[in-house]
Amino acid sequence: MSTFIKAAARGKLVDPEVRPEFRRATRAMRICADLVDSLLKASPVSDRSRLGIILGTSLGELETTTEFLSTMATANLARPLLFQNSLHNATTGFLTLHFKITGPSATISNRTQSSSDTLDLALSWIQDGAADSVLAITADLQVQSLPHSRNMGEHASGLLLSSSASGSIARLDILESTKVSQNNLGRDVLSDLVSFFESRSDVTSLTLHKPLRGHDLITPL
Amino acid sequence: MTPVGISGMGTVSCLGYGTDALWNAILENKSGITTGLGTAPERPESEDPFARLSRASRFSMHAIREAMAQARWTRLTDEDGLILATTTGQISLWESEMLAFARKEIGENELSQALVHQPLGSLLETLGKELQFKGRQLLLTSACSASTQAIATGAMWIKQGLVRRCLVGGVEVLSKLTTEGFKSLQLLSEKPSMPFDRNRNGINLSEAAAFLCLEAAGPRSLAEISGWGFSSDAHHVTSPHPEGRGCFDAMTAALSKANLQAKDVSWIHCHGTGSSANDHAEGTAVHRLFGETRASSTKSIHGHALAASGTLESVICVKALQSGVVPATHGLTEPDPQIPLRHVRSNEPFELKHIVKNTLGFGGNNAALVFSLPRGQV
Repeated sequence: MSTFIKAAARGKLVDPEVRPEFRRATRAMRICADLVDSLLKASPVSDRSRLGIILGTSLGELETTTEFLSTMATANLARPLLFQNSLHNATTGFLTLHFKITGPSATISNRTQSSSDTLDLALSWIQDGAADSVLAITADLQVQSLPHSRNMGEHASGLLLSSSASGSIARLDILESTKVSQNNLGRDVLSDLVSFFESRSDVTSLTLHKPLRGHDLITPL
Repeated sequence: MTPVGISGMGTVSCLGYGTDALWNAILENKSGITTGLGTAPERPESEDPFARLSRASRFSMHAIREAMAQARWTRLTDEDGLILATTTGQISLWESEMLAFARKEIGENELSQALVHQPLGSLLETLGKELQFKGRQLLLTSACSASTQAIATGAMWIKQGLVRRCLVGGVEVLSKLTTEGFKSLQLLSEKPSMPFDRNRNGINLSEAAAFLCLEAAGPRSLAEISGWGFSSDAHHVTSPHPEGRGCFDAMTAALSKANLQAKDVSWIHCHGTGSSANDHAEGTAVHRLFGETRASSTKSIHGHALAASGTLESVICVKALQSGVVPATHGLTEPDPQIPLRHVRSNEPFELKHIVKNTLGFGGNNAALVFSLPRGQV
């Protein structure tokens, strides 16, 4: 079964001074909101009950978790706003709320596999009929207070996938294969696919070779 | 297409080790909640083959071992799948260091060593190593609906031919983050919860690991997974839609997937946390879809195990199907008149064919499952 890519985009960190509605949103929520906004502007989805969203992230809302625990440790104060934003799923919840998405939503966190797992689950949802279209997005941000995250890049990227070919930019086929191609994907499959569309406007069909793990392969047809 | 069946189950909960400990507590109305929380018992280190592991990994491995033994699976192969659900993962390995770092009691190096275990994926990695498993894996962290999603995804993978069999489960351990966090939201009860009661006093957080072995349904299946449905409320970060709109949609989708009508369902195992917002939203949705069908919650017995609640309570659903007993909402004495459900006030013998399991999570995340008696037994 083919799936169709309707849009590919990256998110940028929105300043809450510019968008006051994001005043209480975390940085992860803001960068993802910008990404989803871009995807839905590029390819509008009117029936949001048939639109799903999956976020793949390794660190998730760890920045807020850290802030909640630090405030508790130093001021003996548990702040409800920080807690409600501290779970990894808070980002996805915020996005469904902001974009009125009432279809399925999920959050995945599996280290560097989060991106490929997100794409994988999005394809399963479409094949299952759980949703007609799925926003498959990935995002990770540095946590300044944590030494191990300071060398990380910050990013949010994603695809709008659909069961319908209408208005799509490319068809996506998945093959269970070990065929080697020249176009190796890195660990962040979604980000690599967005890069691919940024650099190539002539591709209308893609084949991803499974397993979508680390050494994924992409073949333009 | 061959339906997906459950061939093995395993649990660790505040009621003890094993699904029998959980089910016997349900039958005896014996709550595992003490001082408002459901803490799983530790085994003596000398008797615990998994003593070297984190609390979450330890509980998971005990539950996995029980489930695989019942399913007669000796090992997972590369053709199988593993799906895990959790919100806090191995938090017991890094939370106290994070608090100590904030108080300037330890330095960055010590914190860095502890934070190796912080990514939720590190728990999945640990379980993968213990099981010597390299096949398809997934970690879902969709709040309290996560392990319900895990069951549905496992069934989906099998139906789509992506895996031959799938081990799915959820695990949650108590932590400062969740206990203080829920306390800050004024949602915790110090006594066993009273879902759907007009005098309800809040929820009980608890620990649990619960795993199920899924494979093509056959003569050894304990139950079949006949439907699943997901939805989002798009209403509020922590509170469900007041009329349970998303909950209704998820249950409707699950029924449709199972090719069933509401009248075919004998019992709804509710999410039923005992919070006012959950009780009203879910009660409204369940009544709207199912009318006078029996509905109950078992959370006053085992507490709310967050991401693990879906698999833990699915074990209860399967036990109920097998034994023909509908568990009561223990602790329900004065039903809230605004929640017009057909409450189950005491454990009730009843021939069950199809059951709906409901979960509602933070972020407005809803998931529902339909469990059915194996076809040969209907």
